[in-house]
Amino acid sequence: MATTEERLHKLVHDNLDVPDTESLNLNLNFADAGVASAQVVAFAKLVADEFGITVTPEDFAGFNNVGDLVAHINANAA
Amino acid sequence: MGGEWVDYGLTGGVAVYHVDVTPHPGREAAARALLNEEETERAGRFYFAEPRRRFVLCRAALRSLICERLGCDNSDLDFYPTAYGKPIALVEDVPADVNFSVSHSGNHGLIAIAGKALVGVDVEDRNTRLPLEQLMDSVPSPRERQQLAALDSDARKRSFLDLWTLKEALIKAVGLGLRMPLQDIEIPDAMKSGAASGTIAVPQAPGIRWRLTKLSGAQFAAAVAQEIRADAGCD
Repeated sequence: MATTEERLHKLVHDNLDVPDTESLNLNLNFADAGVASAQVVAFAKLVADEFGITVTPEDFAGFNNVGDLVAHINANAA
Repeated sequence: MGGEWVDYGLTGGVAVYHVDVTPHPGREAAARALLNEEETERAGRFYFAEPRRRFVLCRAALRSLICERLGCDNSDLDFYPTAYGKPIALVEDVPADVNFSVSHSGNHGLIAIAGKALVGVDVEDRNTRLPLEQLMDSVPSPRERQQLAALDSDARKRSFLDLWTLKEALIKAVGLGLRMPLQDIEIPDAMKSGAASGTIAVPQAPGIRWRLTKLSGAQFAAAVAQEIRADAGCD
């Protein structure tokens, strides 16, 4: 069973303009990486669908990095 | 500095500039020379050349335009992020009497500059690689989703990008960014039927009305949102 980090790594790698080496980086900040807000909005829906949780663009606005997103997923996934 | 003035005839003292962000080593070198140490470090943190180039060219153009407007030296100008990340301009460490917003997509950068009025701008290249069908589930209100669903594919894509840039410009003007639920914002119906501008209020900024203006063209969708002030045009 893949971990949250592994599943998220695949989502980041497949959908965002982030180098493969960085898609595992829990300190990655989407804005610093040049990810546009429209990409963040679309990515929020992908994460919600992948993990079966509620995570909105408003939630993403409060995440400082991928590590915060992982913590949110782990706290809310069934 | 690579910037090109575009007179969109906006009321309320807002000026909008188009910045050509196509690859151009000479222009990029000149732009880098205008950035301060912190901005140079930020440019270095981008993983890919494209977003780095857009940032460098637009930030340098912003610096040039603000310095020209305020009559200050580039070395005295700094930017400081407010609580939710929207930057303000400081001249010799004092907040300057200027509001601004920057957006870039594809080969297009837009900069909106105003005096006292809060302002937000957004641009999206018509040839965007964004997953529009996914965004159509997340951005329009339920009623707007129905309106979009009634359009054919090309018209739906065009209308969606107009809708997105209007909402993005608004949340940038308010200063809350994606903390504002996009689906709760209803763009005035008249603007969906071709009107170039309209006004709107949002609960996150009580007592303030905002003017929305479409700047869309064949190459890009774009919009400006500006705070409507009684002293508009005097700044």
